[in-house]
Amino acid sequence: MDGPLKELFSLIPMYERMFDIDDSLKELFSNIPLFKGENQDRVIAHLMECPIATYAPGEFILKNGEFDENCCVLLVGRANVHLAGGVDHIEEDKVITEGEFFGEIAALSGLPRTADIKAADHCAVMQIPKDKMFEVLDEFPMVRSRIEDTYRRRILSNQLRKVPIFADLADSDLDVIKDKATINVFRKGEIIFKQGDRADAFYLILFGFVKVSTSKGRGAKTLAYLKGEQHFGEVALLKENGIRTATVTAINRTHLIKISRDDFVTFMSGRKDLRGALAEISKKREAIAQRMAGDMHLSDTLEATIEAGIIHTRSTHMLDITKCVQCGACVESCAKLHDGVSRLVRKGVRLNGFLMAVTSCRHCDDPACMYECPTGAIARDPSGEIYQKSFCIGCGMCVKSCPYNSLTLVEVHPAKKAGIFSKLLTRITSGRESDWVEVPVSEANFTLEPKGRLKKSGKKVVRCDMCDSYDFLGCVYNCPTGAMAMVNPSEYFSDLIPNE
Amino acid sequence: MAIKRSAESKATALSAKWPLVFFVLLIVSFLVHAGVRIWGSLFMVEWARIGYGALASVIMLILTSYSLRKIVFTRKMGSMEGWRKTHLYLGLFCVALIFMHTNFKVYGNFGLLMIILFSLVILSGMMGELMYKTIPVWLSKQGSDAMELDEKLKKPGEYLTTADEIAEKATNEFKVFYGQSIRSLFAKRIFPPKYLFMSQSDVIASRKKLFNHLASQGPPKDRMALSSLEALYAERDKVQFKYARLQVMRIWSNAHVPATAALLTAMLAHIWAVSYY
Repeated sequence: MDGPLKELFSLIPMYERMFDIDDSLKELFSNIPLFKGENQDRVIAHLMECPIATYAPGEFILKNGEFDENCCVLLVGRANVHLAGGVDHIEEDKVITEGEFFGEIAALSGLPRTADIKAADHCAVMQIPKDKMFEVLDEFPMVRSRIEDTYRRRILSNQLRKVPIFADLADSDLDVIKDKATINVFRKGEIIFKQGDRADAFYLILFGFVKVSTSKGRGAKTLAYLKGEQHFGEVALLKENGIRTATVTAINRTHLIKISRDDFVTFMSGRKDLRGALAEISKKREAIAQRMAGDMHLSDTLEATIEAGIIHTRSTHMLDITKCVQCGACVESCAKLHDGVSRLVRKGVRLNGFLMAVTSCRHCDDPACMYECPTGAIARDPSGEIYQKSFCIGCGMCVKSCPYNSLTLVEVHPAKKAGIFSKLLTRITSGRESDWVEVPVSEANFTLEPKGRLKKSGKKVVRCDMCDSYDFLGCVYNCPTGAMAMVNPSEYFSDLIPNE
Repeated sequence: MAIKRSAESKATALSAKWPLVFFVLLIVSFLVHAGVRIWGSLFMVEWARIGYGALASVIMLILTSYSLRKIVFTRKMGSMEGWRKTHLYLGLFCVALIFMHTNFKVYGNFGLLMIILFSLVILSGMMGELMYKTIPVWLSKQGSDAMELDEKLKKPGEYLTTADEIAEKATNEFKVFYGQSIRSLFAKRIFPPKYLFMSQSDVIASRKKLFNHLASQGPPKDRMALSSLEALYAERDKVQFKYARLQVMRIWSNAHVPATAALLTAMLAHIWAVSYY
C-alpha cells in the first residue's frame, strides 16, 4: 500500500490493531467508556459487522439537518461539534475524543441531525446502525443508561440554546433548567393539555409540531400551529388563576422539554428580563389568537392544512385549481418519466377553496411507511427524501400505513435486453439510455435479467421520487398554466405560523 | 398572506396583461407602418412589407412548435408555462406583423380567405386563453373543480340509486308515484350540452316548475321525500351546468389546432404563389 492511503493510516496508529485479532478488538472495546463493565465478547459479537469509516481532517462526519440514523463511536482521532449556525465557533468542551460516542440523538429520536460534526484529525468512526443499537441497548442495561443520560444532556444543551428566549442566558442558568427539565414524547394526535386544565408545566418543542386550539360550545377553532424551538404553556403559568386557555395537541410525533410549574416559577422569580420577554410573547400570541378567531378563512385554512397532514411535511404538490385547466399534462408527464406509471393522482385535499394538496408522497418527517416496511426497502436519504429500494416485495404494508394515501401498488413486469430499435426509441422519447425494456411475463427471458430486477412479474410500490433522475420536476415543469407547484408547506403557509 | 394574495390575483380574467399588450402592439404597428409609408421610399416600403411577411411566417412556424413541446415531457426544453406565454405573446406580435404586411387592408379573395383563417386562429386562441382564465376560477368559486365533476359524471347511475333509496323509505303510495313519474327523470342520460344555453336562473325555474307540477299530482303525505328528490335533482342539475362550461373549455382548445393547420396550408400556398408569379 502506498500513497495518500498509507499516509492516512500512518496517522491512525490503532488502525492495524483494530482489525488484527480478537485480543486487539477486546482491547479496543474495553477502552470505549460506553462499553466498560459489559461482557466484551458479547459486545464484540454485536458490533463486529458495524462499518468503520475514516475521515480526513476537516471532513464532515455528520451534517446538521441530514437524516441518518447511525449512532457513532469515535475509535481514532478527534472531532469538533458545531451547533447549528455556529460552524466557526468551536468551544473547548465541544470536542469529541477517542472512545466517545455521538449521533445518539438522531438514532434514538429518528429525527434529523442536530449538529455538524467535523473531523479535527484523521478519524476512524464505528457506525452502529439504529437496529443494531437497539439490540445493544436491550442486552446491556449499563450501555442503555449511559446513552440515555448522554442523549438527555446533549439534547438539552443543544436545543435550549436555540430557543430565542434562552439564547442569552448564562451557562449556569441553563444548567438549572437542564437539571429540572424532562423530555417527553407525544404521539400523533395526543393531547398535551386541555383548555380549562390547571397549568402544571411549561413546554419547549424540541422536534415536531403542535396545534393550539380553543373550543366554544361544540366547535373547536385552531388558533396556531407551533414547531421546533417554540414554546407554549407560559400564558397560564404567568397568570394568577393558572388555568389553560387553549388545548394543545401533537400533530405528529413530538418531543418536548417539560419544566414543571414549581420549577418554572422558582426559575423565573429572580429573572425579570426573562419574565418580561415571556409576557411580551404572550401578548403577541393573544393578538394572533384574536386575529385567528376573527378570521374564519385563516383559521379554516390552518385547520385544513393541519388535518390533511400537510403543514408538517417536507414537501408537497400544491395545485392551484383556479389555474388548472385539466389538460392532464402533469399526470401524463409523470407517467412518461416513470415507466408508464404516474406517481401523481390529481386528487387531494381542498384547502380554502382554491388550493389542493395533491395526493403524492409528502416525504414526511415522521414516515409511517418507513417504520412499517417489513423488509427495510423504504429508506430516507440525507436530505429527508423517502425512497424505495429495489428489493421491495410489494406486500403493501406501506400503502396501508400511509395516512395520506400517497402510495400506489402497481403491477410490474420483468425486463429483457433491449434491441437496437428499442434502445433508439427510448433515447428519442425519453432522452435516456436503457439496455432493458419491460415485457409481458409470457415473453420474458428471465436469464437475461440484471441484478436487482424482479425475477418475475409482481407488485411493487411506487411513490413520488421528486424526479430524482432528472433535473426538473416533471409535473411542475410540464404544467402549461403554472398551476402545479412543489412547495415546502412550512414556508408556503408561513403566514399561518405565529411570528414572535 | 400568500394564499390570499394568490386568490386575489386571479379574481378577474381582465387582470391579464395580454389584451393591453395586444392593443399597444396594434397601435405601435400602425404608427410604424404609417411612418414607413410617409417617410420611406417606395423601395423601402415594398421591402418592409416583404420583411414583415417573412418574419410573420417564421414566427408562425415557431408558434406551431408549441404543439411539439406539448408531447415531449421527458426532455428539458424550457417550462411548459414559459412556452405557453411565449406562444401567446408571439401570436399577438404576429397579428401586428400581418396587418403591417397587408397595409391594414384585404387584397382579393385569397387575401380575404387568409384573413378569415388568421382571425379564426387568433380569436380561438384568445377565446381559449379567456376561458383558461375564467372557467377554473368560476368553478372554484362554485366550490367545485374539474376533477370532482369528472368523477361525478363517471358515475351517473349514483343519482338514480340515491333516488331509489329515498323512494324506498317513503310510503307505498309514493313509491308507485315515484315509479310512474319521477324515476324516469333520474334514469335519463346525463346530457350537459343543453345546459350550455341556459342561465342558472333558467335551470332553477325549470326545476321548480317541474317539481311544483309533481307536488300537485303526488300523494300529499310525502312532501319530505319529494323535497329530498328535488334537492338531489338540483345537485344533478348543478353538476351538468358546471360540466357543460368545463367541456366548452376543453373542446375549444381543440378548435385552435385545425384552424392553425388550415392557415399554415394557406400561408404556404400564398408564399408559393408569390414566389411563382
